[in-house]
Amino acid sequence: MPRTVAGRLLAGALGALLIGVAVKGDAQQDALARLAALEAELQALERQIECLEASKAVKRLQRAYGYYADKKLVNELGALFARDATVELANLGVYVGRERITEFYRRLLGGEGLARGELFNHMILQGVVHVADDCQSAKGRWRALIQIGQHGESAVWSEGPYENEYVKEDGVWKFSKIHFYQTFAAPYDPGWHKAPQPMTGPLEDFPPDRPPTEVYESYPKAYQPPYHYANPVSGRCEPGVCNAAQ
Amino acid sequence: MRRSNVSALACAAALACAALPAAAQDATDAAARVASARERLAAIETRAARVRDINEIENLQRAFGYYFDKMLWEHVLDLFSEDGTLEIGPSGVYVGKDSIRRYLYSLSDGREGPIEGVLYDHFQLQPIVTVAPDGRTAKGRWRSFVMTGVYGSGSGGNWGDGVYENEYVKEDGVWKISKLHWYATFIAPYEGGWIDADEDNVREHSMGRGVEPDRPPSEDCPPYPEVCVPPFHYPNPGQPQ
Repeated sequence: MPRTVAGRLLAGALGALLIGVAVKGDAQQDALARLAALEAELQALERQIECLEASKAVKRLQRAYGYYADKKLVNELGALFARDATVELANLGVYVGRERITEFYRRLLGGEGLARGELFNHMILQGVVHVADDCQSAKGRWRALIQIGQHGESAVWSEGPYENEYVKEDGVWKFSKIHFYQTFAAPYDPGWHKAPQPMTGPLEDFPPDRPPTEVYESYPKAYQPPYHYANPVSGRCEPGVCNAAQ
Repeated sequence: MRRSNVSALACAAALACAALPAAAQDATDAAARVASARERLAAIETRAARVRDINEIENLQRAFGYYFDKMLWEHVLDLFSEDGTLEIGPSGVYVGKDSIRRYLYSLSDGREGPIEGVLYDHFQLQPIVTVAPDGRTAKGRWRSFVMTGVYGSGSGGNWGDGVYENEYVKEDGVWKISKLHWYATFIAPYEGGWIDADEDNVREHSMGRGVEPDRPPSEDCPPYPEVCVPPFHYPNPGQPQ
C-alpha cells in the first residue's frame, strides 16, 4: 500500500476513475480533475525540493572554495567557476572568465599549493543564501575569517564579507561571481586595534580586466558592503545598504 | 515531460465525453499517469530524505562540539556508534566506546563537565556532508576552530584550527558518528599566535594522558609549519557530478 497521503489519494483517484468507466461520465471527470490537481501539486513539490537541493549545493560549493583556498589549491579553485564568472577581492579589481580568474589566483597565491612554513586558513562562515525562484541561480553573503602565517616571520588576521553569486551551468553549480570586501587586516601582534593594514592595490604584473567596482578603505575606516537581500522581516532595503531587486 | 502531461490531460478530458470504448482507453491513460505520479512521488520522498539526512548530520556534529566544549563526555559518547572510532591529530586511533571513553576522561583528569578556569571551546564549522545514495552512511568534512586556556596559568591560552574528515552511520533511524578524525592544522599559544606554532603544541593538545590508543595514527599528516592536505572525501564540486 502507498505509504503517504499523496500516494493514497492517487490510488483513490485511480479507483474512482476505473469505477467511472463502468458507470459513466461525471465520476470519471471528477477523478480526472483530481488526478490533474495531484499532478500539479507534484510539480510544485518537485520545484521546492529542487530549490532546497540548490541551496545545499551552493553552500557545499562555497565551503569547498574555503578548503581549497586553505591549501592554495589553485587548479581546484579554478574548476569552481562558471565560464564567464568574475572575481573581485578587496581592492584588486575585477577578473573576468575562468582562465583569467585561475591565473589571477595563481599569481596572487604564488603558485600551486602551500609552501613549507605557510599558513593560509580561510574559514568560510555564516552563509545567507537565496536561490532564485527558478532554482537555476543564487546569491550568498558569507564571511571569511583568515589566518595567514609565515612561520617564524609573520602572523596576520583578516576578516570580511563576501557577496557572491552562483549559477547552474551544464547541470553543475558554479560561482558566477565572487566579491570579497576586506573589513580588516592586521598582524596578530599587536592586533587590529593598534596596527590595521590598508588594502593593497591591483597586481601590477597582472592587471585586472576592470577596475574595482567599489572604492573604499578597510578598518579603521568604516564601510558598508551592501546586502543582496532586503531585511528578512521588515522588507526594508535602503539605497547604499541593500542591493536587493525591488 | 510537463508539456506531454498537459496534452495527455487535454486528450483525456476530450475522450471522457465520448462513448464507452473511448472511456476504457481513457482509463488506461489515467492508470499510466497514476503510475508515473507514483514514481515522481517516490523520487521526491528520496530527495527530501537526503536533505533531511544532511540537516540531521549537521546537527549531530554541531551538538558534538557543544558537548565537547563542556567536557560532557557521556553525552559525547552517546553520539558514537558502538564500534565508532576517534582520532585527534597524532593521538592514534581509539576504537569503540570504551576506548573513546578512556581517551576523553584522560583529557580532564577523570572528571566530567566544565571545570573552573578551563576554557575548552571547539567551534564546528564549514560542513560539507555527503550522504550515500542508500541513505545509510555519510561522510563529512568540517573544521574546528579551537580556543582553550587555563585561567591564571600564565601561558595556558591557545588558538587552534584543523579539519575533520568524519563518517556517520544511521542506526535504528538515528545518525551517529562512526568515525571522528581531526587533522590539526595548528595549535598556537595566545601570546605571539601562530607565528611560532609547532607540532609540540598539537601533541600537547591532542594526546591522551596515560592512555594508549588501539591503533597507531592512521596516516602521517603533520601540522603547520609542515604542509599536509587532509584528503577530501568528495570530488571537486565544480566538476560534472
